[in-house]
Amino acid sequence: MPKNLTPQDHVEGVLSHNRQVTARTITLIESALPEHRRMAQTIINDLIPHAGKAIRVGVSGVPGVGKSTFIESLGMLLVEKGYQVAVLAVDPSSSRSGGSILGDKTRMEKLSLHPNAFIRPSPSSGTLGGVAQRTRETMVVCEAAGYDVMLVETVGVGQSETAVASMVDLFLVLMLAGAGDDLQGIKKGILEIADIIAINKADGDNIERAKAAKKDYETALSLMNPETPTWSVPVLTCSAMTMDGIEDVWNCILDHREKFTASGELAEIRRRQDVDWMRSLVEQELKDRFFNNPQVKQRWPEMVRAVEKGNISPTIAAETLLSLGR
Amino acid sequence: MNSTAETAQKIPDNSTPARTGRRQTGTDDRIEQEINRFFRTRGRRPRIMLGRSSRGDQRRRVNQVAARFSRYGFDVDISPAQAAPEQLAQMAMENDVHIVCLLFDGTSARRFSNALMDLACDDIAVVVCAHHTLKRCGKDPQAPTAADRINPDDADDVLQLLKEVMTTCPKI
Ligand SMILES: Nc1nc2c(ncn2[C@@H]2O[C@H](COP(=O)(O)OP(=O)(O)O)[C@@H](O)[C@H]2O)c(=O)[nH]1
Ligand SMILES: [Mg+2]
Repeated sequence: MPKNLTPQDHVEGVLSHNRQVTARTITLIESALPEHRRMAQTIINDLIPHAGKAIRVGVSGVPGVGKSTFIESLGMLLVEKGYQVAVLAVDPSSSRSGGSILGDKTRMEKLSLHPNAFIRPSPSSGTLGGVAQRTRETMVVCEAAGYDVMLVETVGVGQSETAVASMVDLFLVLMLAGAGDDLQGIKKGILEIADIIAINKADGDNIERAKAAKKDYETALSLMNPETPTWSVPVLTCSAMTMDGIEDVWNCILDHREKFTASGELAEIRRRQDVDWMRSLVEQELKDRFFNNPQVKQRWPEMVRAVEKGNISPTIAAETLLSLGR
Repeated sequence: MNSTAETAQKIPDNSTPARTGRRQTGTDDRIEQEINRFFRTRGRRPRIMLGRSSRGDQRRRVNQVAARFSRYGFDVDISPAQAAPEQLAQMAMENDVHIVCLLFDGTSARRFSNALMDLACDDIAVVVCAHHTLKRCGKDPQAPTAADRINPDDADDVLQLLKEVMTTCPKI
């Protein structure tokens, strides 16, 4: 493997479904160096025309609900059907006090060894904006490399959920039965963002409770106005462990796709997401320019100290810094 | 969005990963320096994969080693337990790691190294994880490329590994 691939090498490698080059292109996207970012941007530009054909599914839910296990099961079902599956993760929450431990492949034992699957755990450093952007770009690379289903795992906390929802066609939320009364609290937000709800761990003596939870959610949903006449959010039960109901979830995903394609809403969603993407690129760039401005860098620590001591008001400090970074 | 304190820390140190909350010995400091240098030149932390085989490695030990490396500041991938050496090599390539630390040796380690060569991944460093008592003992003629042993609990070992990777592993 030559040590320096040109942007052209990257583009050709990805398009010819070369796994090693694809891996290296993702590394470029993950890099924090400006020259790598610039090169990645060139490559992405060339790849975008070849991307966009995949089914993009966001998989969300609280930690421990079974997202990784679900992706292993659904992924295996799909590769056996002949799909090429890429698995990405958005989790900006890990601490910065050391390196990340990327254990996803231990939870996706079979899928990670399958030739039709590409699982790339990404170290979760950086801001949500950065991570989200990186995931979008990685998705372009994977689609251009021929993967036709994207499974994006995200933790069920507000911000990263919203970020993922803004880059997928369909948002699947995994839930647990009998999570207690606090259900009421989280319900509304989740119901607003979910396209499909699946109650996971519907196995063993949990089956009855899962069925009851399904009824609860259906009732709650029936009280809400559907966002579109095309789709009312279905509630399913499944077991990522026994594979029960996984195929039903997939059929539901296909049904959603068919209906949203026919109604033109899929195209509409994608167009809106492109505008979102543009906006976040601009925001990111403005931020980077500001914080990398030498004068801002120089004055920053002094301003922080002054504000901490109460010698200067936050508003005036911000104004001063912003006028430098202009 | 960010609290002031968080941002304040981030600005002057924008391009280096911060490590906090740990008592540091001299060698640990040098590891941190080396990792920061790595980050500044490559744009990411050194990424290491722990390669398990079906036999001879307990889960607890694997987690210990992973925690150890991440505390030094590495990004750590953990392979599935049931992978063949050839599959491990493929995984190292796809995760684009700098180093593979095998938790096994012997024939399987040799098979792993050969598989890595077949994939043209000659820029990935391979070491074998030594048990606590074993020290790094240089090249073993029996296993040409998977011969370096490393004891993750020994900071000097880790520092030396980092320095070697810094000079011999050119990829980003
Ligand atoms: N009984 C049962 N356990 C499950 C199921 N899915 C996942 N689990 C278990 O739940 C735990 C958390 O799963 P994981 O996939 O890591 O959850 P994540 O944090 O949402 O990614 C693991 O111990 C799994 O074995 C399921 O369908 N049934
Ligand atoms: Mg998970």
